[in-house]
Amino acid sequence: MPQQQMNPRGRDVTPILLGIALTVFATLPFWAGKGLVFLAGIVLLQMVFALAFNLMFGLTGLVSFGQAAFFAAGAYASGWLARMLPDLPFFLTIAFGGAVGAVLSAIIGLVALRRASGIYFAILTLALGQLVYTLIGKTTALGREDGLIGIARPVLDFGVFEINLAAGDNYYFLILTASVVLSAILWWVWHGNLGRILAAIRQEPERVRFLGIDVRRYREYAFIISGTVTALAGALVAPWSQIITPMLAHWSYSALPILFCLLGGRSRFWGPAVGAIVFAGLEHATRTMVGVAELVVGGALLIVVLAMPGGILGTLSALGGRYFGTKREAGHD
Amino acid sequence: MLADLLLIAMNGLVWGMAVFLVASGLTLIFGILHILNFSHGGFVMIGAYLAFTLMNMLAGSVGIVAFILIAFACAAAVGLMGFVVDRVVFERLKRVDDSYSLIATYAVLLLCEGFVKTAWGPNFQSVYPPSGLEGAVFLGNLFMPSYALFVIGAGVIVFLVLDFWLHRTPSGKIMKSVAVDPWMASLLGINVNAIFTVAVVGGFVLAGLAGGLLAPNQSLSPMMGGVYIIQAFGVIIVGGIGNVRGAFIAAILLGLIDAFGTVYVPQFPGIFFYVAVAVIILFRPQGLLSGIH
Amino acid sequence: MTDLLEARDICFAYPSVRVLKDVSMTVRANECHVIIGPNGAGKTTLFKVLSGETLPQSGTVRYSGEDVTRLDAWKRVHRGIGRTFQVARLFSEQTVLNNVILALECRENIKGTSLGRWWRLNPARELVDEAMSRLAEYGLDRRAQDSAKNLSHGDKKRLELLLTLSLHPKLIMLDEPTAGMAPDDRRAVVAMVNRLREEEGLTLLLTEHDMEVVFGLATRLTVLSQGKVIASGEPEEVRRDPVVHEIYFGKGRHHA
Repeated sequence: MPQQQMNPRGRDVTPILLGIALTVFATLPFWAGKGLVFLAGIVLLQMVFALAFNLMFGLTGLVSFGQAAFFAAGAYASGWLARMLPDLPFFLTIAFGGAVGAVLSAIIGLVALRRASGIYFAILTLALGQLVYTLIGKTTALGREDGLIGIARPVLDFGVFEINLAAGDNYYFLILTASVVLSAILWWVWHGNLGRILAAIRQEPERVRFLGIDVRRYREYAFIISGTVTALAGALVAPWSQIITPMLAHWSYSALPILFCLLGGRSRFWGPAVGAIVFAGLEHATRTMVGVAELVVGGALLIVVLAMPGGILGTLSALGGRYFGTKREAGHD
Repeated sequence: MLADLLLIAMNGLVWGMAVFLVASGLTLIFGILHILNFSHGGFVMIGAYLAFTLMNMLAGSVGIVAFILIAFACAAAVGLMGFVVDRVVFERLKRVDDSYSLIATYAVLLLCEGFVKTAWGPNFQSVYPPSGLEGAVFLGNLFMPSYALFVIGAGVIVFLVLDFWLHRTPSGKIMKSVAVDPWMASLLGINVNAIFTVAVVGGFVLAGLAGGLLAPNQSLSPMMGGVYIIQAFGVIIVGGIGNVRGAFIAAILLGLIDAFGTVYVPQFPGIFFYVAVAVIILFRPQGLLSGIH
Repeated sequence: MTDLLEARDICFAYPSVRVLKDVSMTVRANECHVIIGPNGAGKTTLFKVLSGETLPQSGTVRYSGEDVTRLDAWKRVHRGIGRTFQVARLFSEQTVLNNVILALECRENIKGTSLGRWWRLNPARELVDEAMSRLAEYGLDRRAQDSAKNLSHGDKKRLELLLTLSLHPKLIMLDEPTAGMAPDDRRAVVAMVNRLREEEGLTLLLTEHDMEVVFGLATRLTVLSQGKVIASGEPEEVRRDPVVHEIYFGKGRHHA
């Protein structure tokens, strides 16, 4: 944005944090145990889930309470296809998951965006998401309540060479690569022309309408991009956890990205990623104590919502700005 | 055939009245404060667990009167929690975005779940109906569990009392005037903040009461708060948010839709509830009974 | 002069109150048409119906001969109608410059040029330059890097008009363009509106309370009272109309 060229701002610590995070994730298999590597793979995909969600929440200003439906749709579609046609190239099964997510989000978006205001949109998406949850849990081809088990990690065939995703930490590195690529796409949308219009819609939808923009269509774009990327993340989770259950579509799973966004800060692109990592840390630290996880997470969320409206990243950079003596601008960044 | 239909309808009615017991407090709080309280189900759950503990303390048989007294005790205890939640959380949510208050109260729901898990453990617990309600009775040629009839009766009584209070008593009328226009009410010398607190505590008392009365309705688990809250959201949205009469009618309607749906499309039990909620938000976002309070 | 915008028998009612009763009016090309009337006469509602913010229960709105009664607001914008709001609606988190750039990007987006494609990370240099020169034209260039929310009331209104003008509309609707302004700012608005009409050939439709402003720029007036048109015509004609005198001016200037 031009303001960055003309209006030099305080030292931005985001690239440094990003570099550290990437280094940690990339080297993790060399120094951490299997359990932690597995957790890291899940966290990476949840990060993508939350970043995709924030395109609607932080950028466009829509709170959907049914995003888990798209995550589950991607996971189930690709998991089901992989079991039906085990010889299909891996990327096609993943792409199928993404395609199903795109279609489902287009349909749900078309219905839900008729009521794009506050609580009604939240409850409508909640109801539609629960509908998907119930349908998955009662469909025999999708394993009903038990879900799909034994989803294989295939061999990638590049002609000249092959990568066996079942071996070693190969699948983890695939997840890492895919997360970087998907995040980059989302980053581009957020900071580009489309992102600017979506941010404008959040701030003043009527003004945008009278600048000749079909606001509902642009909200639908945000919804579909978000749903598709979410479904791709879901598709990638299936061979990683090797079991998928209807719980992936449950509303409590839809609450996760909202939680990450608010914890990390929804007005910044990387906020939800910070939230996802902090959340995973809290949950990992309290995993053996029954009930404490909910108390810690609930308490942390409550404190953030009531006392730190900018989330962790927003608060950090406000503090950082004070430290470096420059005033940072909140908002689209 | 007719008996079958009646049985299905009765099942729908039991479901509806159980959810209405939960939804009544939710819609009361929304009507006055415009906060959709996600944690409401959590407090219903705490009420139910409290009832479970109190009934175990009495050991042996609990009569109907003792059972109802226990429910009132749960209502009082949860009402007290409501006072604390009002001071700590709701006070700060009056000027924020809808979505923020939804998330803040979701955080409180997580706290409720954590509290229940630490205090009572993560496993299922079951509560038996009090003596006198554990059997079943014949209504004509319908064979109904007497506890189910008790739930229906409790739902109707709570509705009648609440409706009488809101429409026929001076304090209820003040409540309604604050709901319609808090600014105007404060101009007329009403202490609006006190009314807000009364509404929140009242809503929580109803949550605790629902928990106590419904404890024998299903197995207790830390998931229960989440299940109830989603159903109650559906009911109050369909009824028109903040509208007690609307919620009562919507609860019956959704109960019947779900009961008949489950019988005629047994492959997908439970989906008709969500379909009905979605359709009504789309075509009548103001709810079935807008304008009538 | 040809008819640009025509409203016929517009009726609009909220559940408990009828706001517009068979309102008909015509805006001709290149005129400055001002709707006046006491508070609650239905001016703002009429504006909403004409701009497409709400749909009337009955009646038709025609623009350049085309029936646009049920047309979405954003499609009317494509056909050349622009509008501002009583309280300026701006992108308050953004700088003044970014507000204008955003409007220009919307324009390019509508036109489907390569300057408005979604993958464009930074706004095109051309658009930034155009935005700066537009700001200079309206005397806002020195505020370019300020946050839009920090502008004065008058500057906010001016910026909103600039946003609307960047789409090159044929007809602009201004809802109370001078409300809450200091006398100097009001005179500036009058001068600007006159310049837009005379030099750029725009057609303007306004609602306005201040009589000095009204008679400073109106070429035609429509008087609305209790949801009905009670008079319409040239300013002097309307000023002499006994019915208007009775209902409107007769009550003293503070009502006007």
